[in-house]
Amino acid sequence: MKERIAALAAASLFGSIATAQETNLYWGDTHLHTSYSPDAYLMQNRSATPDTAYRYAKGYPVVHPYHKARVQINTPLDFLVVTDHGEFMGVVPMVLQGDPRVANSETGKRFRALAEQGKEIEVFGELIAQVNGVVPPNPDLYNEELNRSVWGEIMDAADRNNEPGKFTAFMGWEWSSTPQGQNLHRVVVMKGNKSNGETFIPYTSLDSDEPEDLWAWLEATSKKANTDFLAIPHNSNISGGLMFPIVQSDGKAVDADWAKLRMRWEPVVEMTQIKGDSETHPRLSPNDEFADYETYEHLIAVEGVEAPSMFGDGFLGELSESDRKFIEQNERRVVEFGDYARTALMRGLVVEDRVGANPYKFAMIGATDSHTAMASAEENNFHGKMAIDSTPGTKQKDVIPGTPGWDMGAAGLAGVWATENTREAIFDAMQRKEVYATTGPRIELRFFGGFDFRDRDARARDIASVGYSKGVPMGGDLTAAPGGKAPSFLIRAVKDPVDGNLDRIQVVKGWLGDDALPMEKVFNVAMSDGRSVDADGKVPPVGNTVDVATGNYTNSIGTAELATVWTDPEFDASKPAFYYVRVLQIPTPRHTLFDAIALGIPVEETGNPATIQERAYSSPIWYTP
Amino acid sequence: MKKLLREPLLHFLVAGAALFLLFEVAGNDEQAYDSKVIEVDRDALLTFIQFRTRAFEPSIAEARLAELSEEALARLIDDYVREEALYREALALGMDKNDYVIKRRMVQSVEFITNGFVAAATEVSDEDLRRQYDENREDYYIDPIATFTHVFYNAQRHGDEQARGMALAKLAELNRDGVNFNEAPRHGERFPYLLNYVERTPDYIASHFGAETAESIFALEPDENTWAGPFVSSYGVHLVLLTNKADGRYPDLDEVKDRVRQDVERVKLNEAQDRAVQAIVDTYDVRRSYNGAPLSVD
Repeated sequence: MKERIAALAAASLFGSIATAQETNLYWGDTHLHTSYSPDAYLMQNRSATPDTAYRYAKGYPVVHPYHKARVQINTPLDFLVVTDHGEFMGVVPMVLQGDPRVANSETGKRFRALAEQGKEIEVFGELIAQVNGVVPPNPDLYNEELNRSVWGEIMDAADRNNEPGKFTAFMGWEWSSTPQGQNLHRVVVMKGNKSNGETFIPYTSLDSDEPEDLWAWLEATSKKANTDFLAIPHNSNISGGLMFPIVQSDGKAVDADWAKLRMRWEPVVEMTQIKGDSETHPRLSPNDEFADYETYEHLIAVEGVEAPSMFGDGFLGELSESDRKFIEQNERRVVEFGDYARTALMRGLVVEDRVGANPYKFAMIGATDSHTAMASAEENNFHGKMAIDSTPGTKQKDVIPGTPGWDMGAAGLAGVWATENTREAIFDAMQRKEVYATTGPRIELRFFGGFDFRDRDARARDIASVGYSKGVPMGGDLTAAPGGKAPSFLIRAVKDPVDGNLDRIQVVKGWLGDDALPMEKVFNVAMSDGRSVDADGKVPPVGNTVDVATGNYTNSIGTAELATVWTDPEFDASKPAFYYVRVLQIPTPRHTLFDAIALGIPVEETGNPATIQERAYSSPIWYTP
Repeated sequence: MKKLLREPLLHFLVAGAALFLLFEVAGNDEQAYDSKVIEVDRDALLTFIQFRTRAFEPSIAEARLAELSEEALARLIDDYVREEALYREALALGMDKNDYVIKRRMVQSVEFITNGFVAAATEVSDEDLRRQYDENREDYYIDPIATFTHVFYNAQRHGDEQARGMALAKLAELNRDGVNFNEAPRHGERFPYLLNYVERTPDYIASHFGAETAESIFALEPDENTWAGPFVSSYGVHLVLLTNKADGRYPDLDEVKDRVRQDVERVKLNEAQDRAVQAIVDTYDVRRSYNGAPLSVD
């Protein structure tokens, strides 16, 4: 059978006109936790292991770890990275299930006694204190023998589930650096297989909480293990401005070496996920009417308070009433440039202008960061951030102090344009930034930039072959505009076959203005339903067909496909710039609307809108003079 | 007092306080317990090692014990003595009899032993695989697949009628000229999704073409020279060249052996543990005197 497919593929490559698309679209989740993550386990994911995660992603039904119902993904994924927290990876299940390597240690016995009394939260608190560096790591729980054993199990599960050409299972973990409660987390993805991974144990924030140290470790380990890695930052929106800094961890200003090192290891950013969307913030982009999307402002780091923090993501703390109040009253703070992807891309131009290298020339993807082992980003099939917030009733409660499950979004997937569905090809696509983000729907998005596109290219039978032959794909670079000619962009978006129609395509441009000040502007470039752009650059809303009483909507508005060639009308060949595409879907129900209907309460009580306009974000194309 | 007895946590704390008091008052009284002697002999250490390593295999334990360095041996003995001493204190306090925390812990430790035996004993035979497979065939069913290409006319652009007319005219041409699979891209218009569908399942095809058209496509007989249609989707009108089709099937066991093996292991582990626990339960005479609250009949 395989030979036949190969023959067919070869025939379509060579046997006819140029129809073969050089790349195919693969969908995956690069950030998923299982019961091996301490916070997941303590939040009632006691049973969903890496094997469960793979089964769910491949489309098999699995048992939900909390409510025990049978659950199944609507549309299976093509690849998955299981990324449990490296800190105390797998140790909590070992302790509480009586594994003699830890359960009989002094700490193990104490933890089991606490758990038997229902005081898991104290166990959790103790682990957080170690992760945040308040106390040193406890050798009963964190030692090489344990780490090696759990890492081995994780790698075995990945190898068992990896089916080249059909489904790709990567090995990875999360480096959960959280200084003073500020989220600097990176997901680490390894390109290789178990034979590479056996030569090391995952580097964690207990080794160091400074990204520079992580990069140095990646550098050394990639040589030792003869493989490659990606470190993918996430939740910049709750990093207190530290995710995209202009200062290094040692206090010096970012320089060219730092910028190059960062880009070597962090070419991709996870900018939309369950804990909010990190594209931009309404206060950073006041002229962008779609900027306030799944804005997540539950910062836990508060000045003057020992942060209860986020070990990773969840904290179902039993704080005193006064602590809780204080945190809730003070959690909102001024949004910083270092918190959001758009301002980071702009900041990258500023830094490059100053030191000659851009530390923030990154690709954008989405991922779930679910802790249930279920990569669920589907609004009508969302299984919670943690296991515990997976039913309409329990989502109502706080998952993190001040953050009910309802404030979590059913979000984040990565679309990857790769030559085939293998570890190598998908990893390579991420490194060359030919990847993009969606908030869940499988919106197909092609984006090419060049100087020779014509309007009729948008009608081409095979957009990709035109795009690749006349320009660069998303993640690419343009330079030296011939005769100052403005670049043009070939863009095509197609709706998720089982989701809402498309509203519009926008291009977000950032550039360096006069006095090296970063500027931004959003252009509406293709709209459904015959709408056009007015003198202010705005477009009338597409409408809303959602019935809040039933949760149904119709695709009677919007369109299945939008394609255009757009030329920058305000181009200045002497100024560096970036362009990325944002595709908006028509309004569809947010997961909380289904909960409100199920509970028989007004949707307002969820504190969230009934409907949202889900979206896709391309990786940028950069212009450098 | 009844309330007190129903509060396991409080109970535990009270017991702890009692233990403390006991140490204070009777700490030096050698007659307070049946035995204050802890024998550290080879047998005791061998048993201890087997519990710790969860490998209930005396010969391995013997080898491990023999290999221990002086320092490691001292540590082992120290651990053993501490555990034994605390255990006896707890027994002397009667905590094994009425303390729920201890009871749970003891139950877990017996379950743990049975688990250890079970894990060691899980060997999967060919018959096991066959039985698991035969009894759970639905779990291993492989969906039907179809391979086809298509020529598309956009109804949004042309209107339903005209798109259909264009498709009908094209159908005659395709069949007359013997247009093959790889020549399809020269005809028709761009479809939002794929041109070639290679070994795709009914669900996948239905998500692009609608359930009805997907069914029609699967009803075609594979034929490399005959175009069929027109078929209507929500996007427009399609002509289809179906070149391969495979019915849904139950795979040979060999094809899904790994998955079946994992499933057998999981099932066996659960069964063996249930059996082990049941074997213990069977040595007891269970006398039931409570039969539930009487049902109220309206």
